[in-house]
Amino acid sequence: MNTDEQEWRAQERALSVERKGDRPVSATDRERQYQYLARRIAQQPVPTLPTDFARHVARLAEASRGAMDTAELRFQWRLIGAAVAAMLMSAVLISASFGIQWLSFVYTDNPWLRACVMCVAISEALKHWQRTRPGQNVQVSLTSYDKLRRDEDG
Amino acid sequence: MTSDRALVDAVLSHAPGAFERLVNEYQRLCWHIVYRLVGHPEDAQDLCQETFLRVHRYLYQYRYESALKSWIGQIAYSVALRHLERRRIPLIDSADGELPDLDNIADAFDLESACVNEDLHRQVDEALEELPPLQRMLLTLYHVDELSVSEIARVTGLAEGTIKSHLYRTRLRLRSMLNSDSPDNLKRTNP
Repeated sequence: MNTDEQEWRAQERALSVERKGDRPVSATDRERQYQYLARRIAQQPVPTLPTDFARHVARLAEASRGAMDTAELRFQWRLIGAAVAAMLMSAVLISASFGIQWLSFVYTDNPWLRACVMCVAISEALKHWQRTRPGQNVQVSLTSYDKLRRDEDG
Repeated sequence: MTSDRALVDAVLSHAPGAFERLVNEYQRLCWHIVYRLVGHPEDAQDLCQETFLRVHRYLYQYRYESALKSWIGQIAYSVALRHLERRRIPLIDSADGELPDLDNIADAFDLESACVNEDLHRQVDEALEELPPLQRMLLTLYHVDELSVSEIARVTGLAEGTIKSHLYRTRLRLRSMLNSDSPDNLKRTNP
C-alpha cells in the first residue's frame, strides 16, 4: 500500500475517537481534521429507502415465487404429457411392426404385473383413507402470512 | 452467524414475515452500497429491489461460508456494478492524480469552530458527492456501516491493500481540501 504509515494511523485514531465520542478530542491538529471529516461523513445527509420498502419487496418476492411455482408446475405437466405421448406412439409402432402378441403379458399370469397393480391399489387406498379420515375433510386453513396480507389489503 | 442461520432457515421454509425481516435487517447496507455507487436515488431503489429479489431467489445457494451480510453485500455490489457498466460510468477516476504533499498541508485547525460552520459542511458534503463511485462507497462502508477492511474485501472482491489505499488517499485529499478551501476562521488563530 502506497501510504504514509503515520498519516494512516492518524486517520484511524481520529475515526476511533469520533466513534467512541471520547472527550477531549483528538490530540493533534491533524487528528482533529480527520475527526471532523469522520463526523461529516457519518452525518452527511443521504436519501433513504421508503419506510415500507421491506414489506413491498417481500410482497414482490412472494408474488414472483408463486409465478415461478406455477411455471414449474406447467413445465412438469408438459414433460409428463410428452413422456406419455412418446410411450403411446412407441406402443402403436410396436403393434404395427410386431402385431399385438406383446400385449399378452396383460392377460397371462405375470407376477411383475400383479405386484405393480398391488402397489397402485395400495397407494390409491392410502390416499383415499387420508382424504376421508376424521378431521381431514375440513377446508385447509390459510397460512398466517396470507391472513396478514389479506388484513393489510382489506 | 447463528441468527443468520435462523433467519435463512425461516425464509427458506416460507415462514410468515421472515423475508420482510431479512430485508429490514440488511436494507441499510444494501442501500449504502448501491446508492453510493450509483448516485441516483430512484435507480438505487430499483437496484436494491432487484438485489433482494435475487437474494430471495438464490438464498438456497447460500452456504454460510461468509456472513449473510457479506453475501447480500456481494449481490448488491454486483447488481450496482452491472448498472454502472451498462451506463458506462467509470468506477474510479482514471485521472487519479498525485496525492497532496503532506508537508504542504497546514495543520492548524479548530474542530469546535468547524463543527458549527455550515459553509464548511456544505463544501465537504459536495466534495464527498463528487468522489468517484468506488471511493464514495468504500468511505461509507468503512465509516458509516463500520465494516472492517476485510469485510469490505469480501463484499467487493478487492484486495485489502487496495481498499486501504483508496481510504487513505480519499481521506488525505479531503483533509488537504479542508485547509486549502476553508475560510480563515477555521484555522486556529494563534494569540
